[in-house]
Amino acid sequence: MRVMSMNSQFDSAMCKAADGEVQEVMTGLILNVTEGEILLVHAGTAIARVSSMSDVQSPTA
Amino acid sequence: MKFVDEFRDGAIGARLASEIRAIVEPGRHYKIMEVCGGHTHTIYRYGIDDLLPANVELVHGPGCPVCVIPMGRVDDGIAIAREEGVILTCFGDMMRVPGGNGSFIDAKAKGADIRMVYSPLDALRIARENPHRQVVFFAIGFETTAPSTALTILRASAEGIRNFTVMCNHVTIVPPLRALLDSPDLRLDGFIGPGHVCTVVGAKPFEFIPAHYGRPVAVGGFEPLDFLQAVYMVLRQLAEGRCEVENQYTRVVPYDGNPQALKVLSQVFELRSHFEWRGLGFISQSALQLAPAFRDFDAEVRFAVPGVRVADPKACQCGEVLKGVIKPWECKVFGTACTPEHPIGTCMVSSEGACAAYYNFGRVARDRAVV
Repeated sequence: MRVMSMNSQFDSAMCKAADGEVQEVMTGLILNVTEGEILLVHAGTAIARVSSMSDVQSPTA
Repeated sequence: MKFVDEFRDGAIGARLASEIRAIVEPGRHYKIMEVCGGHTHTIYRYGIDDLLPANVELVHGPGCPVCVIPMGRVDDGIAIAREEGVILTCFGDMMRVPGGNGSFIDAKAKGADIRMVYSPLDALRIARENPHRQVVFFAIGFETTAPSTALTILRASAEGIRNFTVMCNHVTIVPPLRALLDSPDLRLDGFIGPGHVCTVVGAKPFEFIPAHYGRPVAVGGFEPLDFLQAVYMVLRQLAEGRCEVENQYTRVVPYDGNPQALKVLSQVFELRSHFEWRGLGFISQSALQLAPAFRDFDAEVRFAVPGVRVADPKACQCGEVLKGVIKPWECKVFGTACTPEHPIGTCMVSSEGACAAYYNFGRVARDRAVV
């Protein structure tokens, strides 16, 4: 999900899914989250920051 | 879509499948176990097994959190839901899991206030909106989901919300893997590590598999090319005589895990001495309970819980399916008495369950020639 806006009071952010749905996501497990980032969200909590594509291993053998 | 489309490229998939065919020894049968329900779903959604040589067999382990919940825990949840003033909340997958006396949805039909939520934070919102009710979150899941429950408890504590508790059914993946590896019933050649669990715990906890059991591991992601590449990595290790933990899912899995998540887990939870897994029986230190500092948020402390063990229906072979001993279609009731609409066992309930994945993607039967 893409981070739209931050709520620093509760370590959360409003995030937008690929289908356009916006929901509150807890971001306490990820340091220094910024607007525009893409986060891996599970059960309403960001559990990982998705690497920039330059860091992504090529899906080839 | 970024991060998705490039991992669904058919041409690269065909090339990977060709590399896999080239690397396997004819006449040798390979059994590779995936231990995440998301992987099982990926395999059948994208037909991954059809791209593999017939002598490469994918075995589905106990990686679906809904599937491993024993019937007695469902009955315990229903008992809490029937208490005066209680709102029980749970993920949608849990609603139809059969207990000894019906499912949550059956109990809801009989008047219990049971509500589906998408996250524990939704349950906390319900508690905030209903200060005169007791709101219980029926928490399930592996290490992927447990941090979300932990953060929600910390937030409830910070906000001073006292009408919110958690019935904790969170489990951990390593103890059942040890139990499977110690089982004489099952010969496995390698493992696909659970990518999303590893975003939290890292790949390191799986080092015992090569170190003590001599089996290679590749932590894999959930797009079809992720999974195919992870299978290739396991087979390449076998071909080269190597045995280690490799990480295919590097775009989100740090080898040592997420330190913030691990810290929150150790703050809020402690290990249970033992926990019952459907099909696997009691496994010591394989599940979480709330740490003493958070007992005020423990539903099993606040409410009377029967805690009765309930035997699975005799016709249901979820246990054998979860251990990878039989394939879903080999179960006596698969697709006949047991369907997603009328599940007898848990594996037919969740979309991540092996039986539901087979059934929903048309794999009611399979007959492949072994070359």
